[in-house]
Amino acid sequence: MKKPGMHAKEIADKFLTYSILIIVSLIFVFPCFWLVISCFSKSGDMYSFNGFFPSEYSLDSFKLLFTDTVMYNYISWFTNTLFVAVVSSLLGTVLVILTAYTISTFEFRGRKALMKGALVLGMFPSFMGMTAVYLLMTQFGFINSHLGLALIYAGGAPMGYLVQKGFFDTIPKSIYEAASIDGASNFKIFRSITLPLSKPMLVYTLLTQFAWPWSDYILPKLLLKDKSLWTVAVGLMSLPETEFARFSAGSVFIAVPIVILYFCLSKYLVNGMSAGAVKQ
Amino acid sequence: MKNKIKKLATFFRESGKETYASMAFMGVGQILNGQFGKGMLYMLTEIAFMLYFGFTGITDIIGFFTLGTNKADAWAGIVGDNSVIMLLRGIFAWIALAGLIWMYISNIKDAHFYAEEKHNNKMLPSLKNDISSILDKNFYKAALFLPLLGVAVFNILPIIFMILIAFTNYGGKIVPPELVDWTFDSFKKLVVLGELSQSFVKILGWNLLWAFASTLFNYFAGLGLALLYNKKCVKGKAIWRAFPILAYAIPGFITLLAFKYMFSNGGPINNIIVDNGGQIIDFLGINSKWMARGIGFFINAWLSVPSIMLLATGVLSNINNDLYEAADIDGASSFLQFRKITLPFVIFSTTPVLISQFIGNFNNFGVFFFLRSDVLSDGYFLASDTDLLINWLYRMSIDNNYYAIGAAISLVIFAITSIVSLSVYVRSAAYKKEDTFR
Amino acid sequence: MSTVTLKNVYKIYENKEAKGDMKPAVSDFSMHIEDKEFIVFVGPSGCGKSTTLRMIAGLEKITKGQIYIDDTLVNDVAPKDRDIAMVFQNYALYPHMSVYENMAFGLRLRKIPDIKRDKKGNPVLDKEGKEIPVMRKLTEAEIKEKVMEAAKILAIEEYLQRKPKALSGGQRQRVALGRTIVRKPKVFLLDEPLSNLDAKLRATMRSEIIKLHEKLEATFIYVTHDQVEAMTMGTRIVVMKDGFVQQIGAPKELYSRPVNTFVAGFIGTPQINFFNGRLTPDGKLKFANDQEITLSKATMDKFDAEKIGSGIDVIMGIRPGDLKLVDNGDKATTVVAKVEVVEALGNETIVYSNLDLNGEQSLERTATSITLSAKLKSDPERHSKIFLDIDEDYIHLFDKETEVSIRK
Repeated sequence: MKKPGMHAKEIADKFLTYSILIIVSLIFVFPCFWLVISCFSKSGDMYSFNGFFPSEYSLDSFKLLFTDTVMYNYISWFTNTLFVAVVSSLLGTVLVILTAYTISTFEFRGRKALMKGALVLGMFPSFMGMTAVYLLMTQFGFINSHLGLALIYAGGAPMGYLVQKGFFDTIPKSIYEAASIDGASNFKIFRSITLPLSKPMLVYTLLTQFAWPWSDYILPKLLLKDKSLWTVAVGLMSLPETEFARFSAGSVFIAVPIVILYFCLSKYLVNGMSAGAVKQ
Repeated sequence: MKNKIKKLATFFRESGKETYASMAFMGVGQILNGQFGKGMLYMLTEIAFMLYFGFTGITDIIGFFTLGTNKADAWAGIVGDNSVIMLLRGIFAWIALAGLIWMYISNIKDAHFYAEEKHNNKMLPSLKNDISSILDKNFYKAALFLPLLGVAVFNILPIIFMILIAFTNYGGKIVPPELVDWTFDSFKKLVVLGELSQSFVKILGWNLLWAFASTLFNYFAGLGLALLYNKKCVKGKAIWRAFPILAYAIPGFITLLAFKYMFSNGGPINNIIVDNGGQIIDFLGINSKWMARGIGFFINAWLSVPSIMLLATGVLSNINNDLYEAADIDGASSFLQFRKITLPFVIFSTTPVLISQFIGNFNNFGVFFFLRSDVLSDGYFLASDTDLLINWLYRMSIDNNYYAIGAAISLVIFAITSIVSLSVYVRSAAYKKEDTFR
Repeated sequence: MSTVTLKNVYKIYENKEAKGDMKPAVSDFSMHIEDKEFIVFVGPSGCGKSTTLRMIAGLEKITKGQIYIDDTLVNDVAPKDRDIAMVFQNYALYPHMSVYENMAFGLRLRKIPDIKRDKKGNPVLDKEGKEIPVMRKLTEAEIKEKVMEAAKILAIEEYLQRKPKALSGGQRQRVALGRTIVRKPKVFLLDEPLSNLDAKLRATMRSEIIKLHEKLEATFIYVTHDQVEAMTMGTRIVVMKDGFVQQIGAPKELYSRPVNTFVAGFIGTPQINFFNGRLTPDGKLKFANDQEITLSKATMDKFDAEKIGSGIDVIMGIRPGDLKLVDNGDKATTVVAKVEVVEALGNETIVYSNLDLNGEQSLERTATSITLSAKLKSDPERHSKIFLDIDEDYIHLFDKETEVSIRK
């Protein structure tokens, strides 16, 4: 018994909803689309563009990216970035998971103090200590060292333990208690109960710990003085407007793997984020 | 306080020779208790500390106060003191001293405890027992050791260093080999009228406006987007959601640089304008204060709305559907349901996110660093009119070596973010209920 | 042989934020549990029963007092070294392991005493020709044997390869039980194991646990808030309230000789009737609404004359089953009541009535409500007047001030 007026209202609502959806999608996709087509510009120079579109298309910029390495050695930038990101992702994940698990599971003296301390530390501007880190790194002999860079990323990672703690909080304590009555030591419980149960959280943590150094600019710029040691972010930033196609090709090349990763893992991502948000 | 003194007094009165032995030299009491391995470890620790303090530690602590007395002179061949390194080593020596005191007290407590245990005819754990306990009873200590070490070296130490730097005159012309001194000048310069304090006030005002405006805009835009994708009439939700996720997944510096190219003088937008007979618009140039700010605002929204959308989607899926069914039966309109069920629930669940978004936006370095790092505006001391405090901090301390001023700015940023967020956070329900969720 | 002894055990939760609020969760708990007993801790939620169980398990620290298992002081012994097993309210199965692995997990971690053997399995002897004792892990075959044995007892052999997620509530409960019995521990601890099941399944599992107890011949300690479970399962019951033990005794004893009004009210359904009244040494018991009964000399002798003195305010308790519907008020122990609600359950009838003949009917129990449960040939009419005879032998009298029984 619907009135005809209701029907019209529903159609109008649908129309409005879909128009907004299309507009929003365009807003988000257009810059990406522009970046992708720019890779295929023949001249590579932004001034030769016809509005948003290249005047001539070719695959030259990709070829140049990997062959013309005298001025801009993309291949070594790429391998450098990969090394730093992988090492800091692995190390950082271990540290974050250990921190979050410990704080979530154990009642020990100073637990609350640690949590409050982390909260306060998080309020300091992220690169307030940059100068000091630089000085420290010179003292340790870690300037121009990818390992040193990865250590900085991993060392700071435990500060972001809250999302993981939120996840661990959802595992019922009685499971741990049952295991400890079964005869498992705390280490054994962590290894054969907690870790297998937290696979989604491990994936999420690995990904976020990977994505950060993968796209960071500041630290590598500060610590890597030698051009051949640069990461992709530093390298791409150094490109002039005349090398625009090379820039977009290089960007697309490092963006694609991480975009694919995000899409495959978007389920975990949503779970991880809301776990951290709801249960902080 | 009185109680504590009383406790301490009885502790001394009732202690046996083991406790006093450990007071005299770490580890002796443990050896008297029969815990030889642990005693040796304590003794070695004390010897190591002694050696450290003997060789450099004490000098380092003195250096912490003087920050160097010996100025380098290349002509006379004097190497001189490096004040900054001395400060760093001084901090390290203090930490070592704290560590030694902590070890010393724990050593006395340990000797006392096990002496009593022995007195009660109990078996004392061997070193092997102690070591295997770190996999079980003391697992948390082992698990936290590396993370704490990492945070201490790469977060806490640098922050302490910079806090101290804020009270020196380090930076500008005074960098090693010049000698650095303790002073309050940096804060004075920020507050007392002058070019520096004028810039500071202007940047702070814009920074606060930016943080509030973009936090609110992004939050509600993200929430709105999540609700839009959640509407019953929307088909193919996953596909629609893919577009913002795409924006979220691309590394931020790439999109920021792409936007910079897009709005640059030779970029596509100006290209189109010129082709249609218009004048080149200097979107991000030196004279386009508010235009550049607006562009930055929307680019920032482009970057951060997707993540809030994802988060709100997760939260929305946690709402119990019964609530809506009950509301339907009660005859509540869909707008009323949104206002009375959805909104309170989402806001309650995401208050911590709102805070972290505020801090993130207040310290949003990327946007204007990538868009306008080559611009320096008139009337600002080494800053552009779009710069946030954090950008200014970067320019001051990293680009131009005004370390002490940079550190002082950092402290101001810290004060603002911590006051705002702590006052919100402590009042938020999510914090008060931390334990009920556990 | 496995006994459990608690000596003056206290549990005080330290709460820095709520200073002064240091009410113990468990106060002065002492009891000795014999080998092969089935002990039930029962009480309303928050009475400290679970906390006590968890202290026996070693999951909570003991603030004060001692706990012994057999004759070993276990205050500082880790849960895994106490040789106990525990079933949790939410089962606490390992979600990522199959049923078989869930049951085998504890076995894989245990070591058993054996003697040193060579590769063929023959004992290796030391210089003096004696066997050398060693500790070794169980072999996979031994583990399998034990798991299968337990699975057979609980009839879960079919599900051994399934994950807990794919099991129903009752099946999960069996697996949780199976996980505890594979290890053959000294003491079984069960923390409200049936509260997540529906009523029918609960009844079946109840009798299964009783059978299991008989079969295993081990000591069981069982926590529940359900007095029916307590009465049907326990060899002895511990009734707790606000952290204090109220009474320890066999089910019959608790039912027939409750030490205070709390125990009397907690045990038995339908709930016991309580009335305020005044008792004088001549056996006259006058209720607040002026009805009066007279107790015989024999009955009065069961109570403490010293406490009664020249008269005492009492709470009288009489169970609904100890009332009899009679035709008239001739006997000295008969009261008159007005019927409010009649529930005919088939096998018996429960009559809710009120001693206050003129009062308005109220939805709740009042101080003058009186319930009868009996087999009746014909049910009384609503609002009719009935005569209820109180069986003197089963009357309970409590001091009104202390709520403690005045029985000798």
